[in-house]
Amino acid sequence: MKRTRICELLGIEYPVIQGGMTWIANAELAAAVSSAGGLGIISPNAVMRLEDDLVANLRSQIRTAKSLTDKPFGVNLVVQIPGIEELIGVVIEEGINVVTTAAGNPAIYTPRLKEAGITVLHLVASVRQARGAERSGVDAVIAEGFEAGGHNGFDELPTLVLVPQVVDAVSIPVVAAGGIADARGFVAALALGAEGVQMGTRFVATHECVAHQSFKDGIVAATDTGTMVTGRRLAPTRGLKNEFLAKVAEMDRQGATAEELLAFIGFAPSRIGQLEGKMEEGELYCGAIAGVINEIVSAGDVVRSIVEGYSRVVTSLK
Amino acid sequence: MKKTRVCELLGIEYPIIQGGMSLIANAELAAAVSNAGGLGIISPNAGEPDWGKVAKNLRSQIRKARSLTDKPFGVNFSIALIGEDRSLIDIVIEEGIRVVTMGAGSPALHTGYLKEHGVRVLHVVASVRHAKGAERNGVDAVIAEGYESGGINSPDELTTFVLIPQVVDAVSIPVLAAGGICDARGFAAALALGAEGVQMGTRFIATHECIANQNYKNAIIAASDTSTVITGRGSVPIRGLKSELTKHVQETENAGASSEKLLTVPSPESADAAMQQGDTVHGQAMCGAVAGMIDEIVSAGDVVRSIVEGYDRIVAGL
Repeated sequence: MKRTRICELLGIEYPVIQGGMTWIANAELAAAVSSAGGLGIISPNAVMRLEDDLVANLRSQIRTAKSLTDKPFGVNLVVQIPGIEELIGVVIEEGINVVTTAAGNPAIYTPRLKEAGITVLHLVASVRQARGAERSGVDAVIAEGFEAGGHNGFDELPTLVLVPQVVDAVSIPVVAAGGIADARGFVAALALGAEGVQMGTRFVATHECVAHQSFKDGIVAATDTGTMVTGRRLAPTRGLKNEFLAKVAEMDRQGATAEELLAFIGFAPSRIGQLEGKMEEGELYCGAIAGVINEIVSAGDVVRSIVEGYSRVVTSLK
Repeated sequence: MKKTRVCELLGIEYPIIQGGMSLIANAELAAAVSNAGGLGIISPNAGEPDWGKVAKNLRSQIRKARSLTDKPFGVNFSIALIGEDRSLIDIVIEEGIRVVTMGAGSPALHTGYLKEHGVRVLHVVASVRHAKGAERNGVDAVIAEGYESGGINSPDELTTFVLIPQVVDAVSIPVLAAGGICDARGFAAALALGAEGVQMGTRFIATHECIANQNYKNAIIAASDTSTVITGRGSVPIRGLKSELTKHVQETENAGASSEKLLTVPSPESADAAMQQGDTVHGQAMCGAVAGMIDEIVSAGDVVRSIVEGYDRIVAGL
């Protein structure tokens, strides 16, 4: 497989990054991805209960991952999350080399992370955001399309049109995210000019991910029309269709206020859905690519199947 | 460039099809695409907003194209517009057209009749279920059109990036990718995802040969990544350039308008106003999400040639 600037930047063998999915991007998953030559990412709130201490949880997740792999792995930080200063402190103390940031202004924390020698990848969903991230000094951008599970950009730019436009607009490396789960999507992303991919949903349906078995089974069972976007006016979010999303969609239609929607959605439903397997009352973040995911495999096999499939797909193009 | 089954099926050199855009897919454009080795497509109402005059117009467009090229070209029918009436289809058969693209309706209606008369049928689909249905009805290939595409769109909102591999896995007939493609990068990405050809609409509007109004072409050139929007969710979703009209439609939607009310906004005349008369502010300027990547009005033949030339370079770089 072709080596890209992302491999050099992150010190990894294959430019395959695992998304730092809220609640479920746990140490065991991150370590398995990194051990296979990709880059695993830990979410600070992985596995924790609502009442647990976020900072302590992150430290414990990092230490567990360190005990499982000698390869580099990263941490995902949501810029707007309360307590982010302390989380950054833990990341620096624990010697993490890579941080992905999302949902906020990259100008706020990028300088501090860079001063500490940390490589910063920022998530963007438009050309304007990509340019802003580059100006803020990030090392690479993750251009995430409308296909992605979880929180989504308001502009709804799909990966196929977002990635080449971001590639044309910045000179730093671009990682494609949203809609990718196999070697076909990986090669397509590279054809569009990306130098790597980030995958979330594909890595949820693995043995190592702490997501509830029912949620994994839901991803495997999903068809092409199994996901939907709700909350378009407030916070567009893609997830598996279920009773919870049907209620949010109905509130959207009735013109519910931001306060009403926030009160209904909050943080708890995505936790009970994804960690506890409450398949109807919970919120199940899931990408539009779920329909091509037909089996729960090991995270290492996900990386290896992309590496092996890559040459086959490229050869078929000649 | 790689030869695919689509080249054999249609008797063309490169698997690049020009979309049969309502009102503006004219004979000169279709002939130019076919002369360059792709497949041009005529819309029955090209240059003729009065549907009452469409039969005469179609015959004259076909004859004009025939005077401009010896290569094969096709005709596009919206099943929603023609219904069960075969008078236009009979004109196509009489004039010796060998390829028809169809969409917006059941493939069961006309596929058998066209095939009996030796016409190849390509059906536009937007989900796996539609693709399987089209294959069962005997179509020769499907055009899998993603959420990125301009004009009337599917409520399922499946993007090209996730739609193509799932349709490829579901049917054994060739699959063409449409929506979000305008250059060699998108073409190569589509083939990596398993497509055996592409259909492009918006890219071919911004050409010298297309009869679209100059203001409309200029608006496509000026568009950025965030310049298009979907309106009409819940009735007939349409992607077009953001304008006073789309703002008005969105306000009507946000006010909780009924589907009946939404069907009247925008009016059928508004597409003609934008696309032929050039009022892109108050008319409905249908346009794909890829518009931000189109920066120059070129000849239709150059569009085809730039993809052919770019393809080998991109594949060699993978």
